[in-house]
Amino acid sequence: MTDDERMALIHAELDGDLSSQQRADLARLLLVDPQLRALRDELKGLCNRLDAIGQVEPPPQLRDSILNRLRSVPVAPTYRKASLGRWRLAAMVAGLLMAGTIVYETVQGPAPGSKETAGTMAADAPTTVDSVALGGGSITGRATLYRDKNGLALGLEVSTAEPVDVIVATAGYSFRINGLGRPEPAGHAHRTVALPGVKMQGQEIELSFLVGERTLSRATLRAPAGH
Amino acid sequence: MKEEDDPALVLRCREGDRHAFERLVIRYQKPVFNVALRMLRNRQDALDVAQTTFLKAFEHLADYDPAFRFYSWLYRIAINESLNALALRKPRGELDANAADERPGPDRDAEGDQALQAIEDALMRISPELRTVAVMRHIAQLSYEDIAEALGLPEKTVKSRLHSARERLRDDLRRCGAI
Repeated sequence: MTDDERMALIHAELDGDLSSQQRADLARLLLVDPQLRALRDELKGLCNRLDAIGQVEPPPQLRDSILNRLRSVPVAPTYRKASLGRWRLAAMVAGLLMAGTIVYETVQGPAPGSKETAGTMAADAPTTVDSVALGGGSITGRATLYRDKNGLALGLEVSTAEPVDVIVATAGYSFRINGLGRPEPAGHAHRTVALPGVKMQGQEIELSFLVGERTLSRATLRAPAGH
Repeated sequence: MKEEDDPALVLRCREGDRHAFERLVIRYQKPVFNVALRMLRNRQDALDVAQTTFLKAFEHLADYDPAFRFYSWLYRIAINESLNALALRKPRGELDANAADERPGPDRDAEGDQALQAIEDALMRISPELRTVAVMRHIAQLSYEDIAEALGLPEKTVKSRLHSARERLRDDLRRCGAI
């Protein structure tokens, strides 16, 4: 049994995930290997201590401050707006498709061949909205904002000496991409990430490239309004 | 009276019932605050993150996919906000004394107090990526499945990160003579 397999057994024991066969295997290993037994005991003690940290009660003003601030926000604004917007958009698309079909069939006749439909499919290809070169520190590459039929997406082509995390932040929306460059060979990473909920409203999309908590580089993309 | 479950409350929120969201705040303010507190180890920052988490959840309820558990989504926002807050912090090098401002309660004895202090210090010395899974598993007491859903990672990756976190913490505590 390899070291990794022995460690996996210990962690499974700590998580209470051992089968009876695995439990017996681990017991045998611990019996003949005092070092492994010491390691297991230390990890067990560590987990007990972590569990003992427990949770503290938040101060009562937390709830009050959240509820007070919620009162100043209109009720579920994005839901109502987005729902109406989606239905309107869907209705418009359906209307246009219907009108287009009628016009097409009137002028060209029905049942277009595959060559005629190819142009329609091409319209779904992503278009570049903004792009910026990355530089500074040990990171180079390019960040690109795309738009396709599903909305906005962020493309990152990054050359980096060590894996980096990327914080993507825009108005009311932020998330973190972990370990960019880790699985890719020679520190070169190419990642495309969808940005659901990010609209084309003229806002900036801030990118921060980090190693641990150290910022290596920053970049800004813009999603112009009405693009 | 029977407590409504999360999906029912979320549905009511989406229909415009503000009180339903207040129920969710009351239900989850403690775990969200504690996750932020252990990620940041600063009470004021944790309060800010908890507040922002709920406001963002409310504002972006339209983006929430009911196929996932509501609390997973909420934890994801809280973790992202905590990581953003960490990234915006000025580099401090060694932890200063003021950073450890979440003092233990009076029920902890001196020895237990020291041991917990040591492990809280060690938690802040491992990478935020590893700290995230350790906090979600051991402080928030989430299952691997829940953590994977909240972080958008495969369960296998979560396990591997948690194992690394435990081993780094153990190495750190050994170096400090706290184990």
